[in-house]
Amino acid sequence: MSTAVAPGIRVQLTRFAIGWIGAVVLLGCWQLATARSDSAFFPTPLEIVADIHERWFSAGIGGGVLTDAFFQDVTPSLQRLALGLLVAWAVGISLGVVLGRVRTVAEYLEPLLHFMRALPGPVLLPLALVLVGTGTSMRVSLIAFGAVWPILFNTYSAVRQVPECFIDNAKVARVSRPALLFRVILPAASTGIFAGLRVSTSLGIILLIASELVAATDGIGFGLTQSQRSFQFVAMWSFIVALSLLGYVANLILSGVETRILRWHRLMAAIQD
Amino acid sequence: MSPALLEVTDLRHSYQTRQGEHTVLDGLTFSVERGEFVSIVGPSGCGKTTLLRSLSGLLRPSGGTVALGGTVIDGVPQGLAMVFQDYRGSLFPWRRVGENVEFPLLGSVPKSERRRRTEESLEAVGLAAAADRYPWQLSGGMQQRVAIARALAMRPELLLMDEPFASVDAQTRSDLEDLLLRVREQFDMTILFVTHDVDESVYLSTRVLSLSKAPTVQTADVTVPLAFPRDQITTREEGAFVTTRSEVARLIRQAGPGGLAA
Repeated sequence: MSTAVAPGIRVQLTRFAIGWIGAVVLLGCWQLATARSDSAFFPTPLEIVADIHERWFSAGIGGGVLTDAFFQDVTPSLQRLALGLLVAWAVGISLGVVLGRVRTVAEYLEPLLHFMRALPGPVLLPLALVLVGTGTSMRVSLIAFGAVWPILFNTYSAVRQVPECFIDNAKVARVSRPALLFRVILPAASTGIFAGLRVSTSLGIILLIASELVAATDGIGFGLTQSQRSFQFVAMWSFIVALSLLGYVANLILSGVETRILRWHRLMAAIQD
Repeated sequence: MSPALLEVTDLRHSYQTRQGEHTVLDGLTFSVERGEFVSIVGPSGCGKTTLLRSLSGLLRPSGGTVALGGTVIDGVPQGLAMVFQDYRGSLFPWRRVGENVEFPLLGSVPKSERRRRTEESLEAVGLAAAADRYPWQLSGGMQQRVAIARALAMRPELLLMDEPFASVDAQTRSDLEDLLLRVREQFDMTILFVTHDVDESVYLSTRVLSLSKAPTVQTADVTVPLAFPRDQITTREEGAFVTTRSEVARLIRQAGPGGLAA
């Protein structure tokens, strides 16, 4: 019963191919439709790809492939996103564990947290501008504030649902408190925590762009508004594509890690179906 | 005279409900000597689980003391292992079988010794070949054997068992009973075994304690006059088995309405 759990390599390849065929067909239609139109707002995908290459990847092998514009447009956004998400995850997971394990803390904090969660992140932009200024820290704290909620509440609920018998077994084995946390509670809650990580990442990207729309001098969000205001529509599309690629790659990385860490869970679910 | 391995003195526990105070344990006193296999039987709802949680230090009783090796316990004591009824909730699904057995030794036992004990314990329960599988890939009986192996790896002086064979089928159950008697011999453990099955208690034990319905008091202390090794067929045919079983069953029935029929 332990065999034949994962689909065969051939099935996986077929699925992969089908997914890409869909994308290619769609791109083809887009190309055809935009090539016929002479609207300046809709460049063809090939033009966009050429622009992306020219803009960010044309420095040549000797120049390290990436252009200076890449470090101006993309790198700052990546840094802000990574930093903001790290803060959100660290705070969200730690606070979620505390809430899930200490009833009294949860009773005191829960109403307040739900109230704060109800605030849409971008609303705090003006406040953040006043409080933390226009630098990187403003954008990082905005991302962190907005992205902390899904990870916090997912961790909280996952930790609260860790079966008491797991804890009892660990206690009878006289494990230390850190071991109880890292070897029992966090693994037992890991599926819920990962769901939170995914949601918080997509929220983080939204907030990243929102934060770069004001008082910024670089980043994807800045480049996007800048090119739109100066009627460079091909460039605008390049930034849009860059954004979706950012989201796609972030998700790819997360699911890669998740596949490794939660392998047991996937196999177990497959058996119990 | 050295103190008994386990000494329970006037153990009481009650908790608050909406109907007022509910007393579960009402002054239990008994002791278990080294090398004994003591079963505790009683009707359902007699506070067996509360008793075991107090003995293992998971629950602080409202009154009385539990002493292990002469020391009154305060929290989970050393030298004690416990096998729970629900094997699904005992084994960690994210750890492989070997890793589950090794778990209680992490941080206290060096790696080479951990590996040796893990192999030895899995060997003892006949699951050496399953070390790299996940618990949920095994049958219920096999999972309970893994839970026993994990307890063995801890090298406990006292092994507490909370209706460990209640959720497996009859054949598996007999196999597990014999396996338990074998590893008890091999690892030289004292066992305190809670069950609601009178036959099982007599078949396994050197002594059977019976409890009343809650508020629970001890109603009998019956020594089982049967030799080891025991056999599922011949032991159960012996006159001493039959009379002891009837005696225990009668004591339980007297203990309160709704007790088990003989």
